[in-house]
Amino acid sequence: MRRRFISIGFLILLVVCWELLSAGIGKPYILPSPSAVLGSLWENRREIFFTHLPATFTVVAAGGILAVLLGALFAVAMDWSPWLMQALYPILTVTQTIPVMCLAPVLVLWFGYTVRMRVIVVILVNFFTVTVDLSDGFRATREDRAELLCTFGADRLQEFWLLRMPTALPNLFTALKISVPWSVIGAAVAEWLGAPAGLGMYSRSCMMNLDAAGLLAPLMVLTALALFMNGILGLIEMRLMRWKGNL
Amino acid sequence: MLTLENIRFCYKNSAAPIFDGLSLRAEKGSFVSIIGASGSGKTTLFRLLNGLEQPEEGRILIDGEPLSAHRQYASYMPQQDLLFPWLTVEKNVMLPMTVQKKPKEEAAAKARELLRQVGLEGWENRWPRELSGGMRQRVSFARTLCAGGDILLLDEPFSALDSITRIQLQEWLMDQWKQLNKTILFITHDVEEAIFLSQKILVLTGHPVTGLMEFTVPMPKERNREMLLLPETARLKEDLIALLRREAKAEGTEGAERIHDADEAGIDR
Ligand SMILES: Nc1ncnc2c1ncn2[C@@H]1O[C@H](COP(=O)(O)OP(=O)(O)OP(=O)(O)O)[C@@H](O)[C@H]1O
Ligand SMILES: [Mg+2]
Repeated sequence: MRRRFISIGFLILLVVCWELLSAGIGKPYILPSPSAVLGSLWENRREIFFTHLPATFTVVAAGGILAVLLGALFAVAMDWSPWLMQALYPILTVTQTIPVMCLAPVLVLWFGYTVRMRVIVVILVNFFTVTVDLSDGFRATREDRAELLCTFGADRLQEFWLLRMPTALPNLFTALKISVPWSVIGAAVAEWLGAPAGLGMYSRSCMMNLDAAGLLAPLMVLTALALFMNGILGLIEMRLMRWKGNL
Repeated sequence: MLTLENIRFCYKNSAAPIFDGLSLRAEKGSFVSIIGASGSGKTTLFRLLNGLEQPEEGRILIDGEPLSAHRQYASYMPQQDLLFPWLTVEKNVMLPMTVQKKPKEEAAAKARELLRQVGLEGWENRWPRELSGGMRQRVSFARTLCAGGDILLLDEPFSALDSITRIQLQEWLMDQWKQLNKTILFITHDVEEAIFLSQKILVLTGHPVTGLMEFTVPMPKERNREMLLLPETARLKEDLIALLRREAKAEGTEGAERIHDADEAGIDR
């Protein structure tokens, strides 16, 4: 509680400094003050919250969920077949280092400025992380526990649900929590390239008008969105992982 | 009856065999203790018996039939408790029955009853991390009984217990054994524990183990702790201790070499 108090206090201090600095510079198109950003958010609340936020959220949710499903599918398949593991795992670890975001323009060529293109960007950004993290989680399964289950007569499916999945669960949550901000980033960048609606597209149109406050306002919404989703994930995690004690 | 005939076994990544020409017999319903120096192959013997390892040569027979013809005939209690940290104490005990797809209520009732018997009533809904080492061992023990095999393979089940709990559980195990008519194979480091509990004591000696030294405990099935002080029993205890001490000495010269071998083979334990 005390620590939280300190960090909130520090945050307020930072915002105040920003406000003062911006007043000192006196050029709102270079450094808008926090109050100006909030003002811009309030002024355009209709457009931001009812047109652009839903558009972005759809892409984030669809892309995020598909990425997790797809990534989990690959991880499970690799866990199931040592052969697939040997074939894919090295490739996956290498592809992780590709700046997938830079592929977005190529996707525009292929799919145009469509929802599908933006969803694919979000999937690509997250897929590898989920696969690799979850796969590492499965591999952390202790062999002696698996052997014990085997002496009870467990088949492979039972071993998976009773042992491998619970072992990998903490890793799954780590992957999910990393995926949330990256999904938001992926969606925003894809919208930057061009989209009929979305917070990224809104932010870009403000940039064209040299409206710095308007540019930052949707960023605040995006941040809040990511924080909110991770908060929910944290609650689920806490519930599922009570056995660990204080998280 | 459990029979091992001329077993030869060698771990895949090591050169020296653990067993060579090992034979063993355990009558149905008997209580057999197995003692031997650390690293002599006691746990390995159990791994062969529950099918986790296959012998290179020789046969393992249950009532004259090969091991593979039987399902779930043996319940194994590993040396480490291996509780599943994400399951409550009760769910851990139920695990074998969960795997066997028994009805939930039946399994839960059985688990609660077993937990009561090992003195853990009221701990059903706790997490393993909240338990002491000795309590975890008792949970693991209850889980083994829950598996319901005809042969119990207990790998040092009481090693982490304080002496009072240990004596209580030894006596409880004796009662269980008399009631349930199960065959029990019991690994222990403690000579006195082996004598108090078992009818027959087998000692593993040598590298590789080529045969077992067999000692019959000179006490009736109905026994009590005072009988440990009888001259015949005391004699047996001294003999066993002397034997183990000789083994340990031989181990001292030979052991370092074997540890070196194990390192070379990259064994990570
Ligand atoms: N998986 C393995 N691969 C190779 N060697 C092994 C393996 N497990 C055990 N060994 C070796 O087999 C020998 C017997 O091991 P085992 O675990 O059966 O001993 P133990 O009699 O149970 O000892 P303790 O009393 O310390 O539990 C040891 O020398 C050990 O190094
Ligand atoms: Mg052992």
